[in-house]
Amino acid sequence: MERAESKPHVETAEDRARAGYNRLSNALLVASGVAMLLNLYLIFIYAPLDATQGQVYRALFVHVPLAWISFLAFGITFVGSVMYLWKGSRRWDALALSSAEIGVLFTTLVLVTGVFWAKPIWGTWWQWEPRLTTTLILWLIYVAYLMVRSYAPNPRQGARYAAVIGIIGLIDVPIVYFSVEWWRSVHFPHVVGPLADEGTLPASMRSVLMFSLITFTLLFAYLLRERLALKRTEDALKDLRDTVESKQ
Amino acid sequence: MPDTPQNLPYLFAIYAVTWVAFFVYAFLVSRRQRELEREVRNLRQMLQEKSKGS
Amino acid sequence: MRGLVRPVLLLAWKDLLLELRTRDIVSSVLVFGVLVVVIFNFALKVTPSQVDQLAPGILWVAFAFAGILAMNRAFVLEKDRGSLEGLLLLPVSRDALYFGKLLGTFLFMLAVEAVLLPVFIVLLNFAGFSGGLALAILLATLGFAAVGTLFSAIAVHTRSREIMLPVLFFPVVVPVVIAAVEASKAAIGAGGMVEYGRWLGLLGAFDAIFLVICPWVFGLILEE
Repeated sequence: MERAESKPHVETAEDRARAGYNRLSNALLVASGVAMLLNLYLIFIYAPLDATQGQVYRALFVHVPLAWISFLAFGITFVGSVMYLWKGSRRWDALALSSAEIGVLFTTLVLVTGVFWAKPIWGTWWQWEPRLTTTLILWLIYVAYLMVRSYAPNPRQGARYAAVIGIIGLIDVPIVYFSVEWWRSVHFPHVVGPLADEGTLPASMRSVLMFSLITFTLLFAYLLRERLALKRTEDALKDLRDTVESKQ
Repeated sequence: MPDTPQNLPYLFAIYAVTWVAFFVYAFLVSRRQRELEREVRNLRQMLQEKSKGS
Repeated sequence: MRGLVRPVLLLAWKDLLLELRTRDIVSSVLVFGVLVVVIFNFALKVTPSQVDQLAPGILWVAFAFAGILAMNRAFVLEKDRGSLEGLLLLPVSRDALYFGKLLGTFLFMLAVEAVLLPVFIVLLNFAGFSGGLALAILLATLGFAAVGTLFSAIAVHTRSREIMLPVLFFPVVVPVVIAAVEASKAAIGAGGMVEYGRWLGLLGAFDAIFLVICPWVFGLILEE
């Protein structure tokens, strides 16, 4: 193994392509970093204090963009799943998987930040209100998406089964939201709290929220590219291993 | 005004968890990427040597 | 459409015959349902005044978990005996396969529920059975079966099928559970006609959506 490593590495077209890919990724990373710094300033210095919630309301600028972008991520997974089942190309599956994985990461963060925001404001860690509940169900559905890939007998079937979840899951989410919304209107009075309407935000807060959204979208794009590249490498490795085995 | 300092730990937790999660994920992905790329290179060279040898 | 009906009925009939011959499944599901009700009795103190509020919830928990057992069976027998491939060789369309399985599972679940319901009525002193409740049970069970047939086909191929089916199934059918419980509550009088109508409508809409989507996706993944 040592001998193989020390051989001179001739630059191939592939290496140049990878370098180009890296350049865009690095650009995204830098952009996200800059945006993040700006964002932190906007969140903590520029945005005014909220009269009812105090400083803790600034969680809004993390919690809400994370939620919106996880919907974006699962929307991408939906498209990737449909295309994969239709065309069969592994690239679509790679897109679906990468987006789903990051989507689960973001959704987990939505739940955690939601819990930490709720406790000081509502006094309870959790309420079965429509948005939080739907987020929890969303989390469960896409965790199942990832699970089915590991539990399937082979990667190809895993990809196909996961695509099913990717499709059914997204279609189900609005239905879940409506049913929980109706259920809550039957059982609970209208809950006002941290997740109250963005529509009534003062303009300064709203612009900070929009900027946060941009920042997190850049971050999402960066993570997605990195995960996609990793998936491509995983697939290349698998192909190579299959070739090696077939030659033995 | 309910700007109680007791709430700041929650705010800190929210931001801390978020950034830590992002960095950990990005780190894990890039580390795995490097490992796998190394394996891919090794396997490719192994295959090249095999086809030359035979 | 006519070419669909006969294969569907034949497939369903075959499944039902198989299930009825192995009578242990009916009794084991029945025992399971009774156990659920018993546990709930000790978990929640259901006083006579609360029965109308709590009974629908307990009922649907029992139906949901017994339903999972029933749906697990939908493809397990084929998979274990290797006849899944045999099914695919049949000159029937994917749709016929799906709806055949669906019908068999649906009827089986109804049979299980029909057995559990009297037990439940007795143990909880539940007095509210009505046509409205029956309709709600019918629609909700159809929803369960529609989603469960698809996910059972997937789960049966995975390493840990007993885990995989509930994990896939429950999050997706949350709307059905909510609507079933609420409609049941309304049907036994704790709600009203408007409430009942609304939840029944949700059940119907859910069934309609998933009876279209699930067979479509089923067809896409069954080519192996």
